Amino acid sequence: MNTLISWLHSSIIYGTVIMFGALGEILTEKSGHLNLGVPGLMYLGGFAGFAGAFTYERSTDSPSKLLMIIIPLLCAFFAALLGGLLYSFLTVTLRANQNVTGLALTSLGVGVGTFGSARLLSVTGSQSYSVASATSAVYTANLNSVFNLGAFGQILLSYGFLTYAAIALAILMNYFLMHTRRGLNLRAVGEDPGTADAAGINVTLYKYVATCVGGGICGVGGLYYIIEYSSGKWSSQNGLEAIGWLAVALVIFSTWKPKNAIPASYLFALLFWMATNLPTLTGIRISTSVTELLKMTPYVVTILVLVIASTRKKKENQGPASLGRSYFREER
Amino acid sequence: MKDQTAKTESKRDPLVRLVKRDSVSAARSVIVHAAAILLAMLVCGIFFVIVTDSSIIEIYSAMVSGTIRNSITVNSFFKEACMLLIIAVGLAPAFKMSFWNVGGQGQVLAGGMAAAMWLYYLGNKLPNAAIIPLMIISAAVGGGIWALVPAIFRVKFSTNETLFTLMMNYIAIQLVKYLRITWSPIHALGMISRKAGSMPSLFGNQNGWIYVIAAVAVIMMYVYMNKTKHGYEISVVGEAPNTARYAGISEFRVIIRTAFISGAICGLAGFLYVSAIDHTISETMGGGYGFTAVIVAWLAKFNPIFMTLISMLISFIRSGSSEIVSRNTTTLDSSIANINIGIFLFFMLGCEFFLNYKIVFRGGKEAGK
Repeated sequence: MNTLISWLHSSIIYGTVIMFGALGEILTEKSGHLNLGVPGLMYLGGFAGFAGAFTYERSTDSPSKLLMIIIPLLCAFFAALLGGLLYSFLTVTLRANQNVTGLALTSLGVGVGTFGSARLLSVTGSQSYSVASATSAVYTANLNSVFNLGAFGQILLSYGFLTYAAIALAILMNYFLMHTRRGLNLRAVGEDPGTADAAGINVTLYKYVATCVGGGICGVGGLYYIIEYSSGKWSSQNGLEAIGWLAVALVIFSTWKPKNAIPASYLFALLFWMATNLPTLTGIRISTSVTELLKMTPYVVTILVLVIASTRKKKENQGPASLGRSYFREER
Repeated sequence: MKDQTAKTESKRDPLVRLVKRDSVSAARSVIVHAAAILLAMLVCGIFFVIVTDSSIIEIYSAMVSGTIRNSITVNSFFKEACMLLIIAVGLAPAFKMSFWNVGGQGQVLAGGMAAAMWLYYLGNKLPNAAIIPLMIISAAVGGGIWALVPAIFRVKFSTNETLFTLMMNYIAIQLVKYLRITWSPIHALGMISRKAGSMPSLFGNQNGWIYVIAAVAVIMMYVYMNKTKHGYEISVVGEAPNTARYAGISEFRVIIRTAFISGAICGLAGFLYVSAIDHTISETMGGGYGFTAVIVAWLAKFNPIFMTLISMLISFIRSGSSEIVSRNTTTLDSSIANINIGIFLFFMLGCEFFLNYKIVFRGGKEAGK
């Protein structure tokens, strides 16, 4: 029973990281831009948020709880937003290839994150990681620790506010895309920028805003990874890069619908933690080497999902029609 | 800006307009690229000045002297450039036919595993002359299969190959981790002392074979892409799939074949890591070159000479950065090279715009050429 609870618990936390990435990428892809820079954006957001929290914690003796929430959140969001801006400047304005630019953004973001963390390390003189524990405590404050509701509380209520914010964001984004005029315009830009342009929609503006905000959302995912999943530690060898790629793949699994990203993210996280939890749960003993093999599961499932999604060609489950192509007005 | 001003007829012409260029002169291409490289080096230099408190001249001289100080640094510079180049050469034909193979990392690992397999089972039972050819062949096949699987699904179901190849990277990584545990004897560095399956030195140089293989790969790929029927089919399938179908070129055969070749060359790089560089397998083998090589191949427009030059530039940034890191070990770490490579790549990507488009100001001439 305890194993099951901890499996679900860790999956919801891990799934939330993936969900932020997937939501950011859905918004970006709705504007017709496939951003392979998600891992880099998550590194940027995670590092900037961590640096903000760490610096603020060190600057005062009695940090205010509100600022401890706001500062890292803004740092993470805007650092990743800048990454998104760099990407959109290259792909929207300069019309560089989207895949290549995304990969370059990933290597830049990962580099900046690792380098920045090393700088922070040298500030503190600590060995393998540095800790923003007070901020982490604020971010992970939850109802379960107050009321102590047993298994129910541990599974559903034992998370920081960002966990629930991710679900709310998914629902809000779904509403925005499907039920508002701006959402409709954004979808039009992604489907056929030429037509959207002719209808008087500012294509460039929509592409920029969607890509930058989408990047910012990915950055919040990075912050969540550091502050909640890693309890405020930044270690240079973390699994953010793999999460970033999973998030990109999850967009296809969610068929570009934010509300589908909620169950999809949790499912992927369950698969990710299967290798360590399922053997204990079922009482089957497996060696460490086999555990490494089992850890392939989320990636294998992603491939299966890709294949199944591509064999079923339902029209409403396809991505934006202009995805991956640059728009040049005079080429219509 | 142009979007708002063009709304109504009564308004004036937009201040800035873009016109697509039909062709680019060689001189313009050289000037734009050189300017981008210089700007990128300037930004990298300024970045170093900020983080190290040295003057910009000290930075550049340190980068150069760190690369050419002695035969060890020069060899390491060429070795890194060659490994990147081999992977880029492998990826190039796939991109040429619009097959986004971002699984270079996985294919390197698959090749490495296939090569290391012989070391584990027959390492001290067969002479090197027998085992090295076996390693080479199986590395090529291993890497090839790693690219072949996504290619088959791409052709059969038009499955997105970008994400498929990405996921294949992680499957390879987990397989390597599994093998490292089950094969633990060989990663205890025992292979080096035995010299089992190690590439012999050539011209008295430990990396001699790496240079030779890189040079051969570049030349052969150039010939293959530009002078053979296969190469022609690749460019037709990549640029005009409908034309390819009309001309009776089998898309299935071309994509499968090219993906296999692409993966096989990456697998060969994996063999070199196992046999000539690391003498073991690890999941960090080829560290990130799978992605960097994508950008190298793309920037060079699959031109082998440019690929060589860009690989060398990236290797220079890497070795120069590590020299500066080694002088400031307390404040910097090796990831700084990734930042500088990222800056460099962004400049190179951005400069393409000035080759493909022409900016026309209001009242300027209409000529698009």
